[in-house]
Amino acid sequence: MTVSGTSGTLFQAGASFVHAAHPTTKLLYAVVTIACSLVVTRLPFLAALALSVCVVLYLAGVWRAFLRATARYLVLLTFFLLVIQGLFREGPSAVLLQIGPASLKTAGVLFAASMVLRIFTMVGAFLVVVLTTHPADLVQAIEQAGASPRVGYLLLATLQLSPEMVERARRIIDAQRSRGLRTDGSLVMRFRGLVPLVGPLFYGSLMSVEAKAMALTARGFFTQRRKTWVRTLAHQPWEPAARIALGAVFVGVVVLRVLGWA
Amino acid sequence: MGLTLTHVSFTYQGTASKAIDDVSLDLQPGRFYGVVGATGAGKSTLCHIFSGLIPHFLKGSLDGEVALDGQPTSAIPIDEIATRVGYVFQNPFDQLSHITYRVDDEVAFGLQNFGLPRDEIVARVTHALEVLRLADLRDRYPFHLSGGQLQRLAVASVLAMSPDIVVMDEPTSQLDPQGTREVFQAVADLRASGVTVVLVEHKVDLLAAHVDELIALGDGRVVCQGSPRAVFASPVFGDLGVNRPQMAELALQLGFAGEAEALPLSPTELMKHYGFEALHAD
Repeated sequence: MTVSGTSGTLFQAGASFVHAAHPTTKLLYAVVTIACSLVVTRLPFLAALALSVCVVLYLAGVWRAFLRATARYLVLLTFFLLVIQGLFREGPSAVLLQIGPASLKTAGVLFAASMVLRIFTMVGAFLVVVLTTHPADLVQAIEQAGASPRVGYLLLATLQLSPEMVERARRIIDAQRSRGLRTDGSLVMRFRGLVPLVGPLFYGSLMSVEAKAMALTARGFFTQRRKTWVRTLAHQPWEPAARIALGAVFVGVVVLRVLGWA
Repeated sequence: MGLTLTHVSFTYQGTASKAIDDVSLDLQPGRFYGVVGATGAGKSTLCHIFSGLIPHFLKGSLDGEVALDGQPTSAIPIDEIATRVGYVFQNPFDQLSHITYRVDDEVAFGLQNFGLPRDEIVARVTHALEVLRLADLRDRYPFHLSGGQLQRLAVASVLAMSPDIVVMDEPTSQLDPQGTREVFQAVADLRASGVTVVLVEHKVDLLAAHVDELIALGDGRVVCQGSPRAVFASPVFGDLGVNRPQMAELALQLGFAGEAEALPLSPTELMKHYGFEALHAD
């Protein structure tokens, strides 16, 4: 059996070296990159980190998928951070741009830029893993690394429950519409239309939890026996070196930060 | 493998009334049992008892003895029961794992949990998919299947475990006629492979046509049990709030007074009973 079913996931099939890497190596990459983005404070280093994530996304061939998934949110976030931090950040600072009574301050813009770069790096590094690793492989790797199957289940079920939730929500909305509920029109009308959906959706989802737990019990999910994996996850020859390099990068970044250079 | 219930009663934790009250049953290997009853009659509770979810998962007061091959189910670990008694839930959304992305991975889910050798898993998955006519869909995303296909997948995931007994709790309740036919065909396939089947179902016409024995529940008790004709002809069946098959009901309305085993269950049988066979032939 091979993994090819991709519906309901963000996974993009591909043949890049990133795709071929073992999921734990990719997880290590994401953890190290995110940790580095939290450690460094200087803008050039944050920009370099963000650029490195872009390079990995490009080499993995998932750059477009990344943009499709995040562009609109990142643009919105950038806009709001620039406006809010640029206009309202306290403290003395040079004025970058004066628009009537509003002053866009340099310190605020730089702070917003560092926030945006940091968030971009975190989201990008996380999506390198998600876009290039089939969720089933990711969970298998986590479990084989010693994590409880329950952790893996929670991770995958969170992603997988969406089709059922969507279907349940659709049924509830159809039922409410048939009784006269309006779900179209202005933003306010649409919001009002969502209110009657929340209760039944939440309650119905809770009710199905017990049934799912019973089904998992009946299918041996909670057994203490040693599990078999039908698929095998291979390590690439270059991965040990890559892991060491990632560790070295993190240590280097921490040292630079302690020295006040990063 | 036999499953016996001896004077079994069960009360759910936090409730006062018995969901199952003094039920005794003896399920014989290889037979097909149908279970009917009104809502709240105890059908699902009976399924939970058969499958070991009571007392291992659902808590409450269980009296009497439930024995699988002579061994009390309370003394058998639930994961061992799961390898011997398969359980198909009413809603396949509840049955399926929600953590697989392919039909064949879903069927393999339980087998992997039980640590079967890889080759055996692959063989069993292939067999189950062929039996349930899902082999062509093996790389599909489970939740892109139709209702009937999804329920067949649920049956396949149980069949792959090679259980001796399969308990199915209203597996067609959310299906259209085509989906219902698919599931009944799957049940027929199970039965042909020698599996004992217990099917809770409201569609009595289909039950009448397939089962060896019918168990009618009312208020948690077994009201009548026997061949479908005997159960549908029983005067007490009419008080259960469960419909009879249309032809059986028609015959009884027309004053059927023959032996219970002669109760017509199909149009052909009805016409034959009332001497319209020649007319039908014309």
